[in-house]
Formats: sequence, structure tokens, C-alpha cells
Amino acid sequence: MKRWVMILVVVAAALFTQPARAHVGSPNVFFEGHAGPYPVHVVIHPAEVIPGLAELSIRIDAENIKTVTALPIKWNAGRMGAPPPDIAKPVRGDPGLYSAQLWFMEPGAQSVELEVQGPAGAGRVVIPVDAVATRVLALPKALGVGLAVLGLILGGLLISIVGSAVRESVLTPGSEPTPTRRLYALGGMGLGTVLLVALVWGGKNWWDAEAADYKNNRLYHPISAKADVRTNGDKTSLLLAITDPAFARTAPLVPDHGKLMHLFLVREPGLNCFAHLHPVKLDRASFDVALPKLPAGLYRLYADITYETGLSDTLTCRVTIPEVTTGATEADPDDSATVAPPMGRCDGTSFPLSQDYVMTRTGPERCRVNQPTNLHFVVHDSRGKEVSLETYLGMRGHLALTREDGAVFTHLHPGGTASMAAMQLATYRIEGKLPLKAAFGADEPICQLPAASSADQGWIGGNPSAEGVSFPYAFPKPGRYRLWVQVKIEGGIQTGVFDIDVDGA
Amino acid sequence: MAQASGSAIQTTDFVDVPRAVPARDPVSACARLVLSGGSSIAIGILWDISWHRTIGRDTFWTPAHLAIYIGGLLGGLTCGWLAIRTTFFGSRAEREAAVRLWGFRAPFGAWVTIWGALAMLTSAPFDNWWHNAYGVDVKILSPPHTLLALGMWANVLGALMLLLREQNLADARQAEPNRLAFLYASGLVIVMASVFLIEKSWPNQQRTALFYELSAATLPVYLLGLARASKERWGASSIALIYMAIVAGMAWILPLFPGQPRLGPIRNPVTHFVPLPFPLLLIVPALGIDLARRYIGEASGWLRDWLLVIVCGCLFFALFLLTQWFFSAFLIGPHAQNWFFAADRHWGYREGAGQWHGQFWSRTNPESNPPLTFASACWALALSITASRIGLWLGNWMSRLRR
Repeated sequence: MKRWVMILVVVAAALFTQPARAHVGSPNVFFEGHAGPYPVHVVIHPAEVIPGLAELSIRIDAENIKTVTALPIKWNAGRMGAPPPDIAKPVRGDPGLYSAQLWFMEPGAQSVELEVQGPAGAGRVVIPVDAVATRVLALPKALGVGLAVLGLILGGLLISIVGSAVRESVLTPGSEPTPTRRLYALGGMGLGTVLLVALVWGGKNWWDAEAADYKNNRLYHPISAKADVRTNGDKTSLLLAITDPAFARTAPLVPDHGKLMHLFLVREPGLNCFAHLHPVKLDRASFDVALPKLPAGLYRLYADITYETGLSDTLTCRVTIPEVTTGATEADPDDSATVAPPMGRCDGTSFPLSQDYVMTRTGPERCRVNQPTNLHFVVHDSRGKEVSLETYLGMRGHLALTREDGAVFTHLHPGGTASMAAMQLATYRIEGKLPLKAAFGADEPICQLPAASSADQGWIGGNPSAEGVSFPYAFPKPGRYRLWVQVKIEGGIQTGVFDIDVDGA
Repeated sequence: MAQASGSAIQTTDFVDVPRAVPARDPVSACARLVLSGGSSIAIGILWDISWHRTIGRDTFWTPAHLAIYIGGLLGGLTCGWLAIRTTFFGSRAEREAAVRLWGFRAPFGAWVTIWGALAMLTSAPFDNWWHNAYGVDVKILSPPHTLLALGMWANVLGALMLLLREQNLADARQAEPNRLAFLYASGLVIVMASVFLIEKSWPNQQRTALFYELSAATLPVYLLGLARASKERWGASSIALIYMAIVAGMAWILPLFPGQPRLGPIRNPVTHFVPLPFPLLLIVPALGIDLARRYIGEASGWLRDWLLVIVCGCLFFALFLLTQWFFSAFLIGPHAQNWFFAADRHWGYREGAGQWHGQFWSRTNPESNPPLTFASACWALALSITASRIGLWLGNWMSRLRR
């Protein structure tokens, strides 16, 4: 049994080493909020290579919409540096749905400014998008064979042309090449072959160099980090060190709803223990957090951060934690941890938060891959009465989800996938309220983000459903997922745990 | 023979070779069609680069792309038809005036153009995959673009050889046909070659070692080789002038048309089409080459050829260095910021204004733009002599091309 657990851990570790992004294995951007007076639901499939095309799907819950435009804006270029917007086209047969394609020409933090023109005038909203190359595309076999055949024809034709140039191109019409000239032609073809091989070899080296440049300099690489657990008396703390040399050159981190880092711990292999913590900065690349009560085990770590440019990232690593029996006394009041039955033992529809509260998920029990859905949750008390949710980290709730094997991890808000800091940075920069620069390599950012304003509530609130909290999402891969839904009730953080099976397309 | 009248230029051995032009030779008309296609390609590529630097966004159906591919198709289809016609329906004289290749017969230049058209076609799926794998290019040279550029270059080269064949087969008692067409085609070939070099030959890069090495390794091949093949007294100068007229013409015409970026970020909000920089002043080294040809003479003989090679190689490098060294300083300065030299309008929408527009990058960024040193100048001189040798060999061969 132990052997099998080891094998599972190794397999999971192999899967877990895939490139991370903010939202591991889940590249799409989801947004739910308002563009001025118009409720909008947006899904952005970012470009997988840069420069490349992003696909936008925009649903507007309003009638008589005149035009919908989308404008890509790079963080340091502002609206002045943006091209004319693209007009989103209505999708035939689906009223209210619009689609557009946008070019992202440079990597880094970008945003899409949507403008909706309708009966209530113009409404705008800015949605941050990370423009990062994530695609590694192999040459399809059929194309490779086709190109090889064409290459052989081109090479053969070229050598034959060289041969004919020597053999007969200079002969007077009607005369035949002499044996000597034929011999020279063979020599010319031999020399041509050598030169052609050298040319092809040079071309291959060039291709390899371009591919290596893409892989090393343009393709997204996760920032490497490592974690250690330290015990000092009753206090057990986790030290997270960002070890990647590239981190020294990045823009500094900015707080996302008041926290520089949102750290999620998930125990393997059963995913039965979960913690959402907020480490404090020791220095530019080191963070420390007191651990709450947790059982011993191997934990996956996901650390969500937002750079001053607006780019978001998720650092990943693993750490073995000894049993923590006494919870941190100086912990951040927004930290929380929960222990639930292992993966597969939780219901997909309801979870008892305590003796007094039950969280319920509405909607179908099973989901389908890539199908946009609202993950909607409601809390009832023991009398069956709906419980009003308090604001937790500036929102009505937070949702973290992961696929069983760790290939997908994402942190959702009612307004979608974007971090609040990225939203604020993008919006304020476009409005000219923040400088179009960042303090690369420095400890502290230039941009000081204000607290969320009333204007931010349009997306912070997400879908203004009458009850509970909902999160827009579409599961990117089939498989079994575990969801942790965090809400605040009577001052206490409650975490509902749900297992959902996602079917393939 | 135009050169026969030159005092120091002697007639060459090919004059005495019997000539035979098939009656009603369709190759002549085909050569003009292929040359039209070559013109479309050359204009198209300059236009396309401008399009990418002005508007940014494109599809296959932009006018510039259409100019390139219609030009390629025109050349490829014309030469394909010529091969089929010559092979299956040609007269004996027509077949005998062609070269055999893979069981088919066609004039030599037709095969070069067919190869070019095929290379252009091959580059299309390769380029499409490249964009999907590594992103859309923001630079001119990539492996698939190089294949495309080689195809375009071969397309124009094929036209040049078809014209040359007709010129070399012309009756000695008659005026040679296609003299101007050949010079024009030669100018187009140098335009294509300059596009290969453009990413390393910006005015701000004209004090780097690489600029002089690349120029010395390529341009004498064309200037000396095509001048020899042209049999014109001022062949190199004429070809250089045609190259300069085409590139400068585009630099004057393109900015007349409004255009604005449709991709971001926009760091230089251009309002009109952005041309390539003012052409290299090739006329100066070309005049040197022509004078050397004139006084050394072009009669056959390895000693005379080697003398010509060494003199032309040295002259090209010395005059080219002297000219571009000072002309580039003028081009990046304030006096070139006018419609004629277009120095203030050749910056694309991604190239924000700044001091770097008026600086030599070999000074501001020597790591990626190593400056010309004595050692690299010596190396460039050696390359210039080697290129002159190769050019003269090719020129000698081209001046005898009869099929």
C-alpha cells in the first residue's frame, strides 16, 4: 500500500512540475461584472504565443445594444499607445453574445478595455490579461512529412539546376555536351550537394537557436521557490523563499486586497487538508507565515502574487509539514485552515460547515469541460434559513479549486479570475491615475494602490445574485476536482469543500 | 556589342560563338512576363515591410501580399507553361535551345524561376506553423521568411537569366535586345539582396563590423558579376542607380499615403506609410568597379581576371566604407530629415522617438552592435575580394549563357 502511495506521489509530482501561471493549468480569464450600466460576462482565451491572437466571448444582459468594442492596452503604453478598438461581432443565433479577436503583440501585463454602447449610453470596464507564451507546439507529422517532401524536391531541383548550368546552359543550341562537360556537371552537382547540406545544416542550427530563444526567453517559466518549516517553541512557521534569479529583476509585488501573497496549502494525496494563509515579507524574496493547526504530511503550495506591472503569477512548490498542534497566536485574522474527508468522500452538492451551518452548491452535480458555468453556493443555518455572508478579503467569498492530480489550480473571485490588484492597476493606469512605469528590481513599488472604491464594486461583487455567492468559471480539463469555498459568517471564516466530476467534451 | 567600342575594352571569346535564335521564340514574351512578376515581387516586399511597420495587422489578402504572390505565381506559371510547351509542343529548335531537367526541357532561367515559385509556395505552410509555434514575427528574417525571400530572389533571377539568354543569342550584327530590361532586372536582384541585409544595414548600424562584412560578402558578387554579364561599359553603375531609384522611389512614394497602426502598443504614432531608409549609395563603389573594368579590360585570361578581382574587391570596400561611413552620419543627423532622405519617416509604429534615432548603435550598444575595427575591416576586405572573385566567375558564366 505504501508503495502505491509513493508511486502516486511520484506521478503527481511529475504532473505538478508543469509550468505554472496565475491559475495553474487554467489559462482562461473569466470576468463577471458591469461595463457601466450593462451587466457583462466575459471569457478571454489568451494568446498562447506572443505575438498572437486572444479570443473574446462577451455576453451582455441588456437589450438594444448598439456596439461592443474591445481594446488591448499594454500596461506601460496606456490608452495613448493603444490601436483603434476592434468591434465585437454578434454571434448569430445567440442574442446578447458577442465575439472578438485581439492581437497581443508584446508579452507582459496587458488589459482589455470593453466599451458597450447601448440605450443607457456608453459603459466601460477594464479586464487584466496576462500576455505570456505558454504554447509548445511540435511540428505535426503530416506537415513535417509534407515539408520534408517539398524540401527534397527543392533540394533535388536545385542540384539539378546546378548540374544543367554546368552541363549545357552555355552550349550553343543544338550542340550536345561533351563527356568532359558532363563530368564537370557531376562535379558541380556534388559541390552543390555539399553546399546545400551545409545550407540545410545552417538552417537547422538557426531554427534550433530560434526555438531555444523561444523556450528560454519568451516561453513562460514558473518562478522557482522553496519552502521550509521552522519550529520555535510553540510557533511553527513556514518560510517561503523565491530562489529564481530572474525574480531579482522583476517589478516589486503589490498587495492584492491588502495581502502581498495569498498562499494555499493542499495536503497530498487525499487533498483533505487546506489552508489559505497570507505570509508577510521578510525581504524582497522571502516570506514568512505562522502555520495554523495542520496534520503532518506533504503539502502542495500555491502562492498567488501580483507584480507592479499588473502581471499575476502563481509560485508552486512542495513542503513536508510536521503536525502542528498549536495554532499560531499571531496569525493574520484572514488566515484559515480546514480538514475535510479525503478526495472523493465529499459531496458535490452540500457540505456541513459546522453544526449550525450547511453550504449548498446549486446547479448540476456534474460539469462538462470548457462549459461556462456559475459555481453558486448558498449557506443555510440549522433552521434552513439562508445566512447572509459578510465581506471576506473585500469580497463575498473566495474559491480555490484543484484537479486531483494538481494539473489545475485556480483562485476565483465572484468577479472572476483577475486579482483585485491587477484590476486596479490596469484601470487606474488607463485613467491616468497611476504612472506607466514600475520599479523593476526595487523592493517597493512606485504605485500605491488605494482601497477598493465604489467603482470597483461593479466587478468585486460579481453576479449580483440575491443569495449566496457565485463564481464564473469553465473547467479546463476533465477529471475530478476539489473545491474549497471560503466565506465569512459572524466574523469567522468558513470553508465548504466539494468534489465535482468534470466530463470530457 | 556595346563594349566593343570601348577603347580599353576588348572583345571576348563569346562573340565568335555561332548564334541560333529559334524563329518566333516564345521565351522573349515569357521573359517579360516573368520580369513583370519580379517587379511585382520587389515592389510587394518593400510595400509589405512598410505595411508591417505602419499598420502592423495583416491578412493574406493585403495588397502587398497579393503583389508578392501574384508576382510569384505569374513567374511560376509562365515558366511552368514554358517547360510544358517546350517539352511537348516545342519545335526542334526550341527544344535544342533549352536545358534538360528531370525529363523536361525549358530555358535555364525558367527552371530558376520555377524553383523560386516552388520555394515561395513551400514557405507558406512553414511560415504559418512558425507563427503558431513561436508567435507572429516582428522581425524580417526567420527561417520560413528566408525560404520565401530565397524564392522571391530566385524568381527575379530567373527573369534575369531568360533576358540574358535572349541577349546572348542575339545576332552579332543586330543591336542586342533587352539591354535595359537586363539592367532593370539586375537592379531588382540587388533590391532583393538589400532586403536580406536590411536588419543589419539601418543607417544607425552603418558603423558596425557586421554591416561592412555582410555588404562586402554579397554586394560585389552582384555588382561585378552582373556588370560582366551585362557587357555594358557602365554596367555596375547603371545597376546601382536602378537599385537606388527603386528603393528611393519607394521612400518617396510610400509616405504620400495615409496609414495608421492597428496593433499596439504604439510607441510612434505614424500617420503615413513608413518606408525603408534611403538606399545605400552603391553608385560610388559601382563607379569604381566600372572604371576598373574599363582600364583593366574584360578580355578573357585568368591573370586579367584576378587583377580585376583584386582591384575591384579593394575598390569596392574602400569606396563603400568611405561613402557609407560619412553618409550614414548625415542620414542620422538633422539635415536628412526631409522628404528626399526620409530620415524622419522611416521609423515604424513600435519604434518610439528618442535619442537612439540619432545615434550610432555601435557606440550606444556595442555589445549587440560590435563596431568596425581594424581587424574586422581587414576581414571585410578579404570578403570583398572573395565576393568579387565569385561574382566574376558567375559573370563569366552568365555572359556565355545561351539556353
